[in-house]
Amino acid sequence: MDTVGPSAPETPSQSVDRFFRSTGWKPFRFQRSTWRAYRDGSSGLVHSATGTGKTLAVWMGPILKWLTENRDRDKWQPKRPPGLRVLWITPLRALAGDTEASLRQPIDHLGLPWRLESRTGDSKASAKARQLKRLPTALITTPESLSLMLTHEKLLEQFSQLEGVIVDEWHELLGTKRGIQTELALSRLRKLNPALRTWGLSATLGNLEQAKQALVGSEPNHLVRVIEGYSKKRLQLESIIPARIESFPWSGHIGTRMVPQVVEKIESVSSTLVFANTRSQTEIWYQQLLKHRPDWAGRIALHHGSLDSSVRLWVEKELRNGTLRAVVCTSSLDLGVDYTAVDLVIQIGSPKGAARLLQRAGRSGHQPEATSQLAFVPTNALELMELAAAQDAIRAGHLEARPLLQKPLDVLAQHLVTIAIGGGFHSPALLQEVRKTQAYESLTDLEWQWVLDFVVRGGDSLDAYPEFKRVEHKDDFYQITQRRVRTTHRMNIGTIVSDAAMHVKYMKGKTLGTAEESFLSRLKPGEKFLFAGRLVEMVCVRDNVAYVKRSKGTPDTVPRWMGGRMPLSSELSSALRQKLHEASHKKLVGREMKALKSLLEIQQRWSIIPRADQFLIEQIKTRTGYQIFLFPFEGRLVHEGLAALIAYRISRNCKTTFSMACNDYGIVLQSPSKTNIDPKTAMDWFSTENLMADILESMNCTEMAKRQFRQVARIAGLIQQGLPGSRKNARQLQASSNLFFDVFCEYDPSNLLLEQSRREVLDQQLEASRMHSAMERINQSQIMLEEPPQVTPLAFPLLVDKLRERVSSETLADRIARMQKQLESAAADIEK
Amino acid sequence: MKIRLLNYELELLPEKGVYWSQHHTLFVADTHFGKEATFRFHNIPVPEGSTNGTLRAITRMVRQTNAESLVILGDMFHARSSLSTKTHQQLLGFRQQHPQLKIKLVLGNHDRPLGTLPASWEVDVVPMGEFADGLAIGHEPDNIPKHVALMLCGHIHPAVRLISVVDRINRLPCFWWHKKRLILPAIGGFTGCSTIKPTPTDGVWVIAEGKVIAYPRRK
Repeated sequence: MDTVGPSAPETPSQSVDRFFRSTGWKPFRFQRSTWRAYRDGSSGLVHSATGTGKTLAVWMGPILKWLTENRDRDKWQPKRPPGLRVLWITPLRALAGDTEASLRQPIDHLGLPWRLESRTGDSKASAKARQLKRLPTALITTPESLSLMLTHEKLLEQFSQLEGVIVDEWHELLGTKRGIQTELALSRLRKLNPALRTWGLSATLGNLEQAKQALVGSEPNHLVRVIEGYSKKRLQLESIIPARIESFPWSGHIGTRMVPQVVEKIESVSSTLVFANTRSQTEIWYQQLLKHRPDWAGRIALHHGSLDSSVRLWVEKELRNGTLRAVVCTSSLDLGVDYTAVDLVIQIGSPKGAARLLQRAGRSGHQPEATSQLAFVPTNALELMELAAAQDAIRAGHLEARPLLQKPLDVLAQHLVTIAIGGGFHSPALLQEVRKTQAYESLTDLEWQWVLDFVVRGGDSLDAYPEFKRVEHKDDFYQITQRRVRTTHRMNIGTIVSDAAMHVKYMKGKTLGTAEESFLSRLKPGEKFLFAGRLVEMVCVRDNVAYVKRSKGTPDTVPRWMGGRMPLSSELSSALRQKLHEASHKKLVGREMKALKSLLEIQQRWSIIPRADQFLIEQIKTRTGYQIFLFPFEGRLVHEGLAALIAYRISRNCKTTFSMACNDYGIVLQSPSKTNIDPKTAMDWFSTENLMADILESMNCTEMAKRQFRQVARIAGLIQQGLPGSRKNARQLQASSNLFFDVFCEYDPSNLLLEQSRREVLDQQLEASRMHSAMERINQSQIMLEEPPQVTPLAFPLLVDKLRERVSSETLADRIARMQKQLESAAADIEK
Repeated sequence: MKIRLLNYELELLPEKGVYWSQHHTLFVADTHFGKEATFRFHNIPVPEGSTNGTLRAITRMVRQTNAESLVILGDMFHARSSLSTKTHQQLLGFRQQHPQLKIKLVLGNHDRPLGTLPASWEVDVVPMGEFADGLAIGHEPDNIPKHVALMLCGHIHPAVRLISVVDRINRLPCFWWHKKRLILPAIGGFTGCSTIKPTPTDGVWVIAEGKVIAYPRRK
C-alpha cells in the first residue's frame, strides 16, 4: 500500500514512480529523458514501436513540471483547476475518447486538480460553448478543431498561456495537407507564446529528421531532441500459403477461399485483429467468417470509418476488454489505443509498405516485452512475392520515408481566412509566421501576394472577380466582418475531401453509418447490400438519408467507398525487383517464393522472368484489342505517369487511341490497332530528353490534373461541403470541381490553384522524381521484347483491371465511327 | 446536322442550338446567364467570362442561320443575384448587337423567382405550350401538354458516355429525342451536365469537337 507520510512529503518524481508501480511497470530510460527534456524547456520528437509507452513519456513531462511548481498539496484546489497548459492533438477524433481515458489515469491516481477534456467534431455543443469561456487545463483535440478554435479571437489570450503542445501519431499527419494545416496552427501557437514546447509522437520512419523539422518549424528557439524509445520489439511474421498454389487465382481482390485457414488461425488464439485494405473487403470477410462459424455471431465484429460512431466505440470497448474473438477492420484501427488483449494480427492482401506492415504487426502484443505476431493472407498468388520482399526490407531496415508536401496554396488560403476571422492579421507579420513552418519556408513574396489576392478578391486578375469579397482589408490589416463568411468558413475548415455522403438508417431510426451518395442513389428499392456487417435492403431515399431494412438471402452488391488504393512503396518495389532477379536465377528463398515455383515456371516458359538489369515488354492480342505490357516494378503511381507518357509519345507518331491500366508491377496499353515495337523504339519511350515537357503534355491529355483539382477546390473554399445531411440549402451554389476546373482553364488560366493541382499531380501523384530515376534505370537495362502465346502470370492482373485513362491522337469523330462499326459487326455476328 | 423528326425539319447545331428554318427560329436551352456572378456574390471565386462566352456562341448561331427569332427554353438566369451590373451590361450589349432579333423566354425553374426582367432587354416571356405547327416549347420535359406531337425543352442538361469493348469516351453533351420530346443540351458556359441512359427507341446526337454526330447504335 502506498501512503504518503506527513513527515516526508513525496517528491514529484516519487509520485510518478508511485503511479508507474500501480501499473506494474517501471519507467523506461527514454521516458525519463523525455521528462527531463520537457522540464528543461526543449521540444522534440519521440519515436518507437507501437505499444511501448510513448504516450506516458510525453504526458508525464507536463505533469512532473506542474508537480514541481506546486509541491504543497494543501494548496491544490480541485474546484479551481489551473488554466490551459497542455494541448494534445490527435489525428482521429475517434481516438479522442481513448486518449482521454489513458491521459486521465495518472491525473486520477495522483489526485491532480487538473481538468482534462476533449474538443472534437463529436463534442457536445454545450461543452464547446463552456470551453470557449474557459479552456480546461489539458485539452485533447484534432487539427480541424484546433484551426476552428483559432477563429475565436477571445481564445487567443488563453492560448498564449500554453506551456506545451503534443502531437500524437505525427507520422500519420506528416506529408498530408492535414499535417500542413497542423504546422500552420503550431506556428500560430508559437507566435502567441515563443517559449511553447512542441512535442511529437511518431512511429519509426525513414525520414525522422524531416519529421522533426516539420513539427518544430524552421526556426525553433530552443533545443530540439529526437528521442528513440523502446525499439527492440520482437516480431513473428508468417504467411498462410494455400495448399495448392496452382488453383489459386493469379489476380483478384477477394481471395476468400482462404477463409478456413483464417478461421483456424483465429481459433488458435484468444483475440485477433483482421486487417483488410478496403472497407468493402471488411464487409465481405466479416460475412465469410460468420458463414463459416455461425456460432461466432456476437463474438466477432466489424470496424471501419463509415460505421456509426456508436458501433465503433462499442467495438473498441469490447476489444479492450478482451471479449471479442476477432475484429475485421481497415486502417481505422491502425492508430493509437492500446489493445493489450490482441495476440494476433492477420493482414489480408498486400500491406504495400514495410513500415506499415511493422506498424500493423505492433497492434498485437501491445506491451513492451511481448512478441508481435502477424499472419499474412495473400489474396492472389503474386502477393506472396510482396510479403517476401517486405520481410527483406524490414530485415535490412529499409523503412519508408514520408515525403513532405511543399507549400500548398489551398491550405494557406484556408489558413488566411481562419486567421482573418480570428482577430485579423497584418500581412508582413503573418507572412513571417507562415514562413517559419517547414512547408512554407520557401514561400515567395509573389506567391504570398497571390494568396492574399485570392482571399480578398477571388484572384489576381483585377477585373475578373467583381462582387467577390471574402476577406476585407485596410492598408495591410486583413479581417473578416461578414457573419455569413464566418459561418460558412467554420463549417468548411479542414482538408479531408469526401464524396457526398448519405446516412444509412433503419426505418425505425437507428443509424448504421454512411455511404457514398453515388453508390446509394444507384440502388433500386429492394436491392440488397452488405452494410455494417448486416444484409440490408434499400427501402427509399428521403431527405438525403437512405432508409433500409434487414434482409435475407444473398447480397446484390457491396458498397464501394472512395479512398485511394495504397501504392507499393519504392523500398518495397526495389526489394520486389530483387526477388524476381533471384527467381530468374532459379533462387527461391523463403516459403513464400518456394510456393510460387510453379507460377514462376509458367512465366519463364511463356515469356521471361526479368533480371534486375532487364526490362520486360510483352505484346499480345486479345479479344479487346492489342495489348502492350510493360513491367517497371516501380509502384502504381509511377506507373500511371509512365503509362500516360509512353502512350503520349507513341500516339505522337501515329494516329491511335490507348486505354491504360496500371498496378504495382506494370502497365498495360491497349489499342485497337497493332503498334510495331523494336528495342530501339522502346528505348526512345524512356528517353529523358524533353522529359518534363512531355510529362506535362501527357498529363494534359488525361484527366489527372482535373481529378486532383477536386481536393484543391474543396480546401480553397470553392466547393463547400457541409456535414452529411446538411446540404439542403445552397443548391444553386453546387458545381462540380470539373466544372470549376474547365471555367478556370478557359477564363483565368493563370490561376495558381490550377498550377498547384498540376504540381501536386507531378510531385505526389506521379512522384515525378521517382519517375525520373525509374527511367534512368530502365535506360540502363536491356529491353526484352516478348510475344508470349498466352497472357502471362505477371500480365494477367493488369488485363482484368479496369482501364481508366485514355490518351488519343485521333479525333472523337473517328473514334465514334469505329464504335459504330464495331456495333454493326457485332450485330452482324448475332444475325449469322 | 439536319434531322427530320415526324414532319419537322430541324437543324442541330454544334454550338448546342436547334434551328427551325421554316420559322426562322433558333432555340437554345439553359443559358444560366450570370451564374458566375451568383457564385461570387456568395464569395466563391469564379472568374468573369462564361456569360459572355455563351452570348458569343448564340451570336455566331444567329449570324450563321440568319435567325429572326431566338427562343430560350428556360433557365435563362441562374438566380436573382445573377442579375449583376455586369450581367446587365452584357445582355444589353447583346441586344444592341441584334436589334431586330425577337427574343422569347419560356420561364424555367431558375427564372421563376426572378420577377420582371428589365424592359431594355426586350425579352418576351411566353407561356409553355404550342409554338407553331403543333410543335410545343417548354422547360421541364415532364410538363408536356396533351395532343402535342413534339416539344422542344431543356432542364436536364443531357450528356452520354460512350463505351465499347476497346474504347471509352467520357461524357459528351447531346440532343436527346425521347418520348415526343427533343431535349436540348445546356448551352450555358458554366453549367454541368447529367448522364442519361437512352432507350433503343430514342434518338441521340452527341456534340464532339465542334461536330454533331449520331450516337452509335446497332442497326
